[in-house]
Amino acid sequence: MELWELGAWDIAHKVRAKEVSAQEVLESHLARISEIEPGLCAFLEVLEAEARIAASRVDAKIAGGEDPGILAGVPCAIKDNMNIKGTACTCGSKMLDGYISPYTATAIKRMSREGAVVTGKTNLDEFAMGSSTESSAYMVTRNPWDPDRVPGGSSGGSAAAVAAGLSTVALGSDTGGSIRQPASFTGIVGLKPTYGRVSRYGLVAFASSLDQIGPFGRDVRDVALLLEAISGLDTADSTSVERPVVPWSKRLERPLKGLRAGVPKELLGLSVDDGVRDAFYRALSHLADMGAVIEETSLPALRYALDAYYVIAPAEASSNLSRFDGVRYGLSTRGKALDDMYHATRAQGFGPEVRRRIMLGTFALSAGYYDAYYLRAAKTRTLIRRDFDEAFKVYDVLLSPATPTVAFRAGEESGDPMTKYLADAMTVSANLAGIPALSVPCGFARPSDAGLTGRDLPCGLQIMGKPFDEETVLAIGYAVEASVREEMEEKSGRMRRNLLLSKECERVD
Amino acid sequence: MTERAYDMTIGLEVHVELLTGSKMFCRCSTRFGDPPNTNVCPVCTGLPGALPVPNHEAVKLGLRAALGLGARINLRSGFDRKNYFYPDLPKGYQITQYRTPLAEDGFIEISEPPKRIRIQRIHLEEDTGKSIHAGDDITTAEYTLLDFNRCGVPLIEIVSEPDMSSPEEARQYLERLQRVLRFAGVSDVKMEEGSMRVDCNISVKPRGTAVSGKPVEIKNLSSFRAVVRALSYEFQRQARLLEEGKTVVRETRHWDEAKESTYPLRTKGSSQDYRYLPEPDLPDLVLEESFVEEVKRDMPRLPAEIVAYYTEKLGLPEYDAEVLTLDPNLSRFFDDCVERGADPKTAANWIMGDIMGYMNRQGLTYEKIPLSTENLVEMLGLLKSGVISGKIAKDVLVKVIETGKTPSEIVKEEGLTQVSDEGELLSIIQEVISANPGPVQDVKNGKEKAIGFLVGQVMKATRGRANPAKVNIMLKEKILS
Amino acid sequence: MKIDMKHIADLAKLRLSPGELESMERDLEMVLAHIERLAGIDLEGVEPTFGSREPAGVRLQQDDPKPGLSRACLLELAPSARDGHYVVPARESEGGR
Repeated sequence: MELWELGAWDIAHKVRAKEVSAQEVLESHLARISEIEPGLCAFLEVLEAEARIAASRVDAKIAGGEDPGILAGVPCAIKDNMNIKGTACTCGSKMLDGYISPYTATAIKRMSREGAVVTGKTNLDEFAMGSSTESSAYMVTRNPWDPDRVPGGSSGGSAAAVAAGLSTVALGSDTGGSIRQPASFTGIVGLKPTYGRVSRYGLVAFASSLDQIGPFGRDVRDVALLLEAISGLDTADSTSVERPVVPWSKRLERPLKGLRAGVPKELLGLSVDDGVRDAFYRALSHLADMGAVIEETSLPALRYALDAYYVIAPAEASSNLSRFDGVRYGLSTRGKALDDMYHATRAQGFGPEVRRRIMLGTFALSAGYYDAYYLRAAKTRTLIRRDFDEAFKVYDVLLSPATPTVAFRAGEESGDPMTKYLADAMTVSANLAGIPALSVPCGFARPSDAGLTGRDLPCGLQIMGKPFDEETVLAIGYAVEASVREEMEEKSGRMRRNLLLSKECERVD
Repeated sequence: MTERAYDMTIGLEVHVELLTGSKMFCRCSTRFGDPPNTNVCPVCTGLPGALPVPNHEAVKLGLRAALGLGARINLRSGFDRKNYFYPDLPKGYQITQYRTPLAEDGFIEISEPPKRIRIQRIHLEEDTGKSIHAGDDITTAEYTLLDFNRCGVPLIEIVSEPDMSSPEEARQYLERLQRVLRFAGVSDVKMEEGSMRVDCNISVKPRGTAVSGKPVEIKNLSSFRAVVRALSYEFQRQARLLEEGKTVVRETRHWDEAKESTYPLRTKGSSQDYRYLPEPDLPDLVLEESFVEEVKRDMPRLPAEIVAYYTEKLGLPEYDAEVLTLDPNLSRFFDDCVERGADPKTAANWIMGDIMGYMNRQGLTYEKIPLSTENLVEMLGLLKSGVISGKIAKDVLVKVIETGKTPSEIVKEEGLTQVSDEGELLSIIQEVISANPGPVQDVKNGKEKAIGFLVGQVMKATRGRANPAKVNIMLKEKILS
Repeated sequence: MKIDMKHIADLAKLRLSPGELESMERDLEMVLAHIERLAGIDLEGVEPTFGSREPAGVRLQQDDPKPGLSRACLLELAPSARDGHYVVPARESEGGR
């Protein structure tokens, strides 16, 4: 077995036990990256030199008898919307081409302090707006399961890197499903923590009241371990909360007997592919076999979640993205007068999807429309939150498919942007309510557009929990994972070993 | 002119920089006058990913201002984003309080005519950076230089109701407001240095009509004088328009100090739409009752309270009390003198007379009262015990100020003690009587006034060192006996 | 729903060509047609939710200045700088006075 095939839990233990060095682990990954990356396009930048320094520091700590941290030597890829001092942070946008950040995000500082080795910055939909990673201004990331398909988004680069074995774990950000959806599309585990659990300081904001940084891993334990490293109060983020950091990675095994899980019919009522639905129900019956009580339930307000989301997220985004004005950093197209500079810079710097959302959000906040759109959406958000509060009085968790479909083909353009937005239907509610939600692989499904020869692709199950109850969410994810472990390990192992991406993808520099 | 047939309604929006050490939402220094762009960080320059955290002291000072202005505190308020593009606004929005301000319903009392000017709201916000327009003025500049040192400095905005009906009332309101904020230790409140900024809203209507004109906003006012001038100018301009049957356009105008007139600041394209948004990066500002109580307890005394104390407890005339409370340093100086045993009225007279006179001549501000209270009190002691005369005291005061020596030192060095030796005084009186037979005869004839001339001659001969009362008695004795 | 696209683009400082404005308008109308459903929800007496419930009140930080970033570091990121300042074009003269 190659070192790049190991999980974070194993790597950290082997490195701490001096069975392997952090540098050996890193070199194995760098080799893997140079082999696979040209055809995968997961990384916007590989931070080779910086990673080597970080790995040697971990090894030095161990040699000096110091505690190297719970992620000792674990390679971690970072979505390129988080700041790392001295490195680029493009957000997948031309707007930040050439920008070198002068400071580091709190989550990354914490992770590095625990011995993680940052290997690079990963591709994403421009400013995290999208569900396919195709709106990146630089390149289109491929899904390692099928290079003609997208890895999901917006954290598609991080998901693809982990799924393909280029990185052991990765950080993504999730505003409406941007961790869970790509995790589902690439057959890995992804968690959106409770809002406030992980500091947003240094994460380039998309929609501040919804954004949350979270971990990707190839199994639940790795995700739990990374969560431990990045969680906790940060006074630099006013929305960060003071809650104890639990050793989640050691609390995964829990009897499911008597555990109550609800399945919101509003989510299943959405057009979910048959294959995905089948895989979901198979997972439910496994959980039921283990003693969980599973019932269909109703959260009526969830029917409006997507509508509320597509007002609130663009509204906040339109304000958050105002700072990209060509004055202090990034792209600046200078015209004769100030207004020319603003207009030219922003029209050139932002791609079509970002512009669309800025326009939508600006409209929703503009005089005469605030009450009808933004305020109504914010009130609808209250209804959604109330429905979750009520449901969690009865159920420990709520379950749904993580996505209505498996990974779709790259380049699919529908005339109606709303068709694309429907991909977020399962996931946006958790962001609106601020609750933790995990996507864990629950099997495989045949894409509806695959024809007779098409390959089965992985799909995920979403577990939504009570605020700050990541413990239960992860424990159930662990049980789901156990029920499909053999199949997953066999298929994903084979996928990774046989991964040969014939043609290099196009990169814009 | 026919302005007499028109009335004006004035409302003021006042921005005041709070006296904090660090900025509103980050820990950068608020120090004034540092080299450009040296007190800056990811937060106040709006780098992607940076987040705001409010300053405790700014909230405290905002509360003090609110309490000083008799406003109702909102124990739960919130922050909002005011979205607009301007190069000195790095994030593309200003964090302010829009939905619920820190405090509401305050007031300021003015005296001429006696009137209560209502304050609608007091809210916290952050200052913008500084734009330096290279060129003659804002409309002809080719490029703009930006300094973000001031960006993020805590401000409070105090919005009055349109309760003022003359530029003079506006001036009184501003003076009173400035005084309260200075005494409360909230701000320097200096218009000239930009720690107090005033925008005026003025609308004019024909007298006796109910229809109020659309308000015109005047900006770029850098002194109280400018406020008064600009309002007077605007009143005349608008009245003239109405007189000609024209309508007054609702707009923002700039005051041109040199030309003593206002001109419209044209906004290009669409009208302003700030698209206010509840600030998602900041939870509500929730104040504990105990915090508000603490701020109340530590509240410095305000002018009204001090005036009452001076008049009722110290027996000062109303006028003296008002003058001494023009500035917190001045009133502290007076209090200190009284505490050191000085007679309040005497101390007040000296401060308001010779000391303020000296400061006026030298152009000194209240921050730099040029002598110590110890020295003033000591001098008043020498005067009271008869060691020096009142006339000498005036000279001693100036010397104390200019040399920094104590009054005793100066009196001793220059031999200024009063001539109290009767023998020495008697021989001088004898000389004066011999030299002025005419006036002496007048005194003998009952012309009491002539004695004043003779006293003056004795004072002249002693270079002011004689006690005039004593000389008066001795002269009369000598001449009439 | 007729959106004043020109006005919205102006507020957002996005100069779009007539063609871009047109296709943008189509896109927004399709999204808004979906979102219109919000208008049908009974929201009588419902308070809006703008953010999370925790922390219930914002934490305040000490009033104690500490150094931020160096000027050199920040101005190096600037598209244009002069004499320790950022430089931007002036506002349009807009026809003078």
